[in-house]
Amino acid sequence: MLVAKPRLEAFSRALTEEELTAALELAVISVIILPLLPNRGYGPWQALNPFEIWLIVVLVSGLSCGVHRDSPFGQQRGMTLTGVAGSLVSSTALTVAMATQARATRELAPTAAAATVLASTIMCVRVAVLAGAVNVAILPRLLPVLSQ
Amino acid sequence: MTLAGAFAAAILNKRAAETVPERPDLPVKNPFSLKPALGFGVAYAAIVLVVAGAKGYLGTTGMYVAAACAALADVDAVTIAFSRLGAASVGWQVAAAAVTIAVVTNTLVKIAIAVSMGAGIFGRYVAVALGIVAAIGALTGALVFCVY
Repeated sequence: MLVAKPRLEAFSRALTEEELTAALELAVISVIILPLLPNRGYGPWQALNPFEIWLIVVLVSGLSCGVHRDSPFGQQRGMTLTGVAGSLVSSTALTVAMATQARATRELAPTAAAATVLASTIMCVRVAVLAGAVNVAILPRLLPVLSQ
Repeated sequence: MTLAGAFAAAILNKRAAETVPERPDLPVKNPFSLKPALGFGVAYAAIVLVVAGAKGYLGTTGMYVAAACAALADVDAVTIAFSRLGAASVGWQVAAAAVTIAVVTNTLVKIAIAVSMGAGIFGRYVAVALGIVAAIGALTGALVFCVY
């Protein structure tokens, strides 16, 4: 703790109040609220699973934080990295996060668009890998579509 | 879809590098607010209900409809479900077609998110790039479906 103190101090100074609030909010919705929600279906056809729905909310907010906290890598590379990382989790949630960022900081819109398209491309690869892992026999019909 | 997407992402990335100056001083506004995340959570819940309805009312004939609806939120579930169903119950043609429908629908959903939530240049870039990707996916999908 003592060894890390100078670094921790620098880190806490670099955080703005806004970012601190965001981090706290994210902690509350993911660590506190999420585990409390029942992981089972409710409503017609038992379709609504509170845990799953809240997980989507956590994903979108988490990726938004990722988009914002990128600056140490440089904006362009940072957003591309978030695009790659986000697409492995949910490229749809990443699209929401990037769209929100593009609206908040208009100058970054082209960079955010590039990251979104990249994430969508990685999704195609992910689908091919997933389908092949579950059952290889589907690939001859699926690969021509996904690869082009 | 992978080739076309990678190509589009590369072009957008180049354009972003040219038009967006790397400015560490650029005040990146914090896009983290629960509102867009919660809004997306509500939309997700509604979609899940529609999918359950399509399955409940249309039965096996509604399989393609269900795949398209499910892909509004998540492609992985559709991919795993249909890759597993595959040979045993529905046949590879139907399974591959369902996954293709899911991937193309999900790409179209991203365009809708980008245009409605991102606005301006972000929406335009994403719409053109992913529009081409989705069109290629739909075309090759139709070809594979007819040829096999």
